[in-house]
Amino acid sequence: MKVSSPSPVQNISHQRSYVLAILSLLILMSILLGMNYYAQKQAQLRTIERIQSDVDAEATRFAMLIDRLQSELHQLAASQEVNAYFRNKALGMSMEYGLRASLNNITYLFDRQLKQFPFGGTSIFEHISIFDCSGELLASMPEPQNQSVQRSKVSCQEILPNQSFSNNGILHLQAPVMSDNKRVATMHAEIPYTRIHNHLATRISSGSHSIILHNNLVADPPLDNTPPEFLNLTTRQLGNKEPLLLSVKDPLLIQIMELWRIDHPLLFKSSINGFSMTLLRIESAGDIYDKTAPITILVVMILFSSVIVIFSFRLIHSASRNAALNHYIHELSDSADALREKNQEMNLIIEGAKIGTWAWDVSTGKLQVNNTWSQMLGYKSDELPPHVTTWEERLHPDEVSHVFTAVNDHLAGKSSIYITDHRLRHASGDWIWVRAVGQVFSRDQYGNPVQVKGIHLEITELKNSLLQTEQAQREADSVIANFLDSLLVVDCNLIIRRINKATCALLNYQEKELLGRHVSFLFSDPQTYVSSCFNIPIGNDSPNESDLRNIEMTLQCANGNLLPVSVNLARLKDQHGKTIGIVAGAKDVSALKNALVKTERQHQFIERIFNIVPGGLLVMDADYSILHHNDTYGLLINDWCQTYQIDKESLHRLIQQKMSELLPNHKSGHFSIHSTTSEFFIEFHAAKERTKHHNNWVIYLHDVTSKLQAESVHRLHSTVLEQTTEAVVVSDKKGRFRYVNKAFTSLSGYSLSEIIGRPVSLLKTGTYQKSFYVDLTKTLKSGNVWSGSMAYRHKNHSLFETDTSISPIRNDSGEIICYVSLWRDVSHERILQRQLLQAQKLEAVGQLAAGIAHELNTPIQYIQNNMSFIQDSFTLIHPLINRLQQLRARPVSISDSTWQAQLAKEIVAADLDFIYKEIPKSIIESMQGIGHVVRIVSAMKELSHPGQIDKLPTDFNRLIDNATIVTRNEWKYVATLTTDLDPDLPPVVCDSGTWGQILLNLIVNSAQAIEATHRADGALGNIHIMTRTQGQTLILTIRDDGIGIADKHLDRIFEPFFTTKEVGKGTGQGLSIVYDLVVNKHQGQITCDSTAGQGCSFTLKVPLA
Amino acid sequence: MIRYLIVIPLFLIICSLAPTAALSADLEEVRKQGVLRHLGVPYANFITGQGDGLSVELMQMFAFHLGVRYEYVQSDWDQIIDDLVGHRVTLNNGNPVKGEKVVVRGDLIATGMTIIPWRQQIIDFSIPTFPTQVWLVSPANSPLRPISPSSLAEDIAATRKLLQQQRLLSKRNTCLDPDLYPFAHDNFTTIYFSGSLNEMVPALLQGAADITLLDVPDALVGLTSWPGRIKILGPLSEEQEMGVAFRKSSPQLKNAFNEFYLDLRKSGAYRALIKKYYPDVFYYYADFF
Repeated sequence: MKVSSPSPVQNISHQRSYVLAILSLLILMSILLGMNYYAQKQAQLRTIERIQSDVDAEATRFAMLIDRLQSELHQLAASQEVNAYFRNKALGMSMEYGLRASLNNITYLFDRQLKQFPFGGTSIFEHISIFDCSGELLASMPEPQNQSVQRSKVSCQEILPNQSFSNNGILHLQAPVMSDNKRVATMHAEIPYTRIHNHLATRISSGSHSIILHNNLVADPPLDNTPPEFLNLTTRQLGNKEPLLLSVKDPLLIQIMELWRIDHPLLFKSSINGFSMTLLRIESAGDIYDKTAPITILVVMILFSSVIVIFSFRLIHSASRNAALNHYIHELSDSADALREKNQEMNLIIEGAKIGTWAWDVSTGKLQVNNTWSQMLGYKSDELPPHVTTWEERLHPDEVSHVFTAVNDHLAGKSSIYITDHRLRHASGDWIWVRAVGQVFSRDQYGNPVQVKGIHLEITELKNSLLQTEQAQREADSVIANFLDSLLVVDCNLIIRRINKATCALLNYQEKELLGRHVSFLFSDPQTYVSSCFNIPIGNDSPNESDLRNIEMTLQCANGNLLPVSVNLARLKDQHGKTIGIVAGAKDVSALKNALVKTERQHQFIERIFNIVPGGLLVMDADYSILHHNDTYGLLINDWCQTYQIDKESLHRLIQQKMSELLPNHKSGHFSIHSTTSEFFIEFHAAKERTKHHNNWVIYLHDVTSKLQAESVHRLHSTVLEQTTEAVVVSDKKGRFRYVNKAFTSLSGYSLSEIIGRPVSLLKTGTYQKSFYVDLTKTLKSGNVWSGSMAYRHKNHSLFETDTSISPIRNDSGEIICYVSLWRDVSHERILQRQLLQAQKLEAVGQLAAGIAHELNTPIQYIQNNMSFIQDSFTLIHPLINRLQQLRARPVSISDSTWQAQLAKEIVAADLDFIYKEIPKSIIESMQGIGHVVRIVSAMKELSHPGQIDKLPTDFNRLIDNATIVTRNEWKYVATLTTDLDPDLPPVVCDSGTWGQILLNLIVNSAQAIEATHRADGALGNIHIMTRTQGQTLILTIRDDGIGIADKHLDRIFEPFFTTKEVGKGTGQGLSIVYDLVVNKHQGQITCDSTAGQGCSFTLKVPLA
Repeated sequence: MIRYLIVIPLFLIICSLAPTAALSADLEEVRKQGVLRHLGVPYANFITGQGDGLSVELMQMFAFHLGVRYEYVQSDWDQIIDDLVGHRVTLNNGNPVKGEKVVVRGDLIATGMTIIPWRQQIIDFSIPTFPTQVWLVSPANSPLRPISPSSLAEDIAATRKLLQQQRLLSKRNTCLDPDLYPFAHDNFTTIYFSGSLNEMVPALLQGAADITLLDVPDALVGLTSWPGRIKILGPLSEEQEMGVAFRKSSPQLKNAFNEFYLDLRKSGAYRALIKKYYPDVFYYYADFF
């Protein structure tokens, strides 16, 4: 195969592509050049920014370093050693006796400071010294070599800006030394700039050169003859961050350039914040600031790019021309080859097809034929004269006229080609059929034909075959048309090509109405079905003959009537065996069809009945072989096999075996089948079908495993419910008993018949507040479980206590339908608990008895004293009273001097003024004492009162007051008890007796914890009690600074009988009872926060209501 | 005959051992035993109690010089001389009296012991190794004002005036016992301190007394340890000296130490030791060094 070269059109498109590529290249190079220029500029800017950033960072580090050094100097000035010296001096100590040592300590301090090397191998300080306010050098390190520095020019009165200055490349730092808020000395440190610079140099890029200006003087590096012009220049022009390109005429710059060998110095500046310093960085501008470099690179790149583009263009142009020339040469060569091949092909075709060729010169009548033409007529090649008459003479007379007409029409140009079939006389005298094809090949200038060429192809056999076929076709048409039954012929596309009269009559159509229609038009069956029935393979594959016979179809008459027919099909084949159509014969089977449909319907009806039975239905013969079964049985078998992991054959065998065992004696019942994993139960019902020919069993089977298991579980539940010791109550939404178990009847005293249907409120005690039941109902209606203690009234009106749990029961739609209650009788436990609680409380109160007695004793003592005084006073005034009574019995004149004298004497004897003055005091004191006693007794009564079940609103602060009073003797010798009680504390709903016990336990615990510290100085500890409210919660905190609780004991302090106290000091029940009362009885929380040796804090949180 | 054969060798053996017993713990004995037992009491920077101190390092160097092992034996001020001489020593009218025998626990005393006359009666001292003086010290907040220095005699006289009506903290059997000095009968109340010398400054600051006696080494340590909390009022004694104490029966050991000490001073090593533990002392007693 030859590869075709690109055509000229392709070449043009290629050239366009080249041009586009060149343009793209130009654009791309332009972009690259632009980007290159931009990048060059940006790189320069970034370099400048980076250097400026470095300079700023260096300045910042410089400032931080100086700040740190200044800070260290201040620390030295404020050091203990320096301070001690001036304090000792102020105390009057002399150098001879002690003060010298203090001063030496300062020297050692300086020495230590100098020996610290935070900045590498050397101290950054060159010199540290301290001068007093007279300028006298007190201490210095290193010690001065000459005496000239013994005095400083700086005195305490001078105020130093920034306390730093520069001199001879040395940074001088100063810090005031203060003592008793007076400046007493000045610390002075000297740091060479070079040393700072060296320290920072590790962070400065190599090749950089820096200058430090201090107060506008060049501090570093040391330069000779610093010209003021330079300083003016830098301070005037370096006002912004832009680097400055210095003038080479600057004298200092010349010096710098010589020093650092820089040609074009570029100056960067940054102020050192906080100090009068400026950092200057000098870089070589030639390295970073060449403005011409980007432009030079740009021009060179453009020139280079242009040369490349021009060269590329010329190269592409030459290549294009060469390609076109090559293409033309290739085309010529290909055409010659093609022509040669074409001629060879034509000759081969002509010879192979036995085609006779002729060429007719119209003007001369000369006819040139090939050998095949002569041989076709039975002549040799040279036997026939080469003239057109040779052909004309041999034409069949019947065809001369139409042949000549066709030839003349073509010669006249009426047709583009001449084609005709005609007969020629063979040498044998027979006529042969030829097909003539000719064409004018050339004409003269007038349009007359000159050269005509053509071929003659013998078609005698073809013509004969066509005639025979036409005859057969006529015969077949006659047979089909006159066939008595329905007969029709369709082609391969199932289009009706023939249909006989009988069919047309049967369907009441005219033949022409049906011809050309799709065969499905005749049938009421779906077109797909019809097509599938007639869809006989077209190839040589032989269809199954059964598929072509008795096909049930339904014809549809013109009036719509349906005719069931039985159709037989046969293939029509051509002479090559190829199927060209189908012949279909149809026979009316409507009567037979009706009968079959009826039978089928009956069968389906029976089958449906058989399958809708909700269990397995099977028919067994006398040998118990399964003859027939319904679908449900099959499903059941599959289900059992999967559920119980048993194979199908074994299951069938087992069922047959069971049936053979059971059916002779039982017509119904159930049996079990054991699989490897479980057991399941099958119920059966059987009936015997007796006929003349057989005795079959009709058996109904279904799975009763779930039913039997449910019955078993139900029996177990019933047994459990009836035999459980807890009362089980089911009540409806209206609160009426629906079910109770035996435990309930024994607990409540009511029998089953007495209680069912009665309201639950029958057992109410009347001791609970309404809010209790409101909360309970609210909890249950919200779908939650209520649990808690509840008392009920027995049939005999006594009370019994239970731990009750009530749960709502919902139906499938989530609606609450009833409530289930479990009652556990805890009456006996409650009695024991209350007895234990009271016993513990009495025990606690009993332990306090001695202290309380002591508390009572004091007021009673002075009450007794006062009473004795009053008694004595009455004895003294008794004569006076008698005298007055005598006066009432025997009145005397008030002016009776004797009586007056006696009265005066008795008044003096009774010391009436004293008594009159003191008795009221005694009474007040006694009343106070009695009040104190009453308060203690009252507190005792309240705290030792037996616990109540009900919680009542209580003044909690008062409870705390009572507890502190009762326990006073326990803590007053070891601690100071303070309270911080919330004045706005609302009444707390609680059991006051229980809380009294809690408070007693905690306060006594705190007192004992403080006592255990055994404070050597006899100082009192502290107990602090605080109440607060947080929302609806009471927070009680009891804190002490006693011995505390070790971490390892913290987790166990609430355990019963756990104690860390000495033997006899505690039983270990106090905190466990407190925990039980707070957490379980009051639904509160208690936490303990303690550190061993530092005290303990208990925090109790309980709901206010 | 047989009896003589037994007794005579036994007598000879006892005679040969007698000189050895008399020279027990003298130089040869120390070398023989291979250990130098250093008696000391933690005091100032002489014996810090932490394994170092001027005296500790000095004795370690001396032991190394002798080629024996060094062993520190801790004692206290009340019985350190007893531990050296092997007798209970008491003072009778300012004179030491040997009492009952006790165990000899050390070969020398080096703990900043001041050379005072009564001690010289019962033990020998080396060449003075450290200068000292007794100073009067008070808390910084004391109303007493330090003296204005002039001559030492006038300074002592001025300082004695400060003793009037004061409670003076002292320590028996040390150089801080007022009985050793002329001011013993001035008008002040002596409070004898039962703790160690190192605890006298803290005791003073806690109000155990109004003023206290301190020797110079301890005062210098106190000024460093309690800067600004105490003040030196003035001197109460002439300049004194400290030295290493030996048994009267250990002259060779004493001589060996004196030679060693002189060499040490010449070499500058002793000055380095002093600078390490008492850098300030050079300013006060430049002549001594």
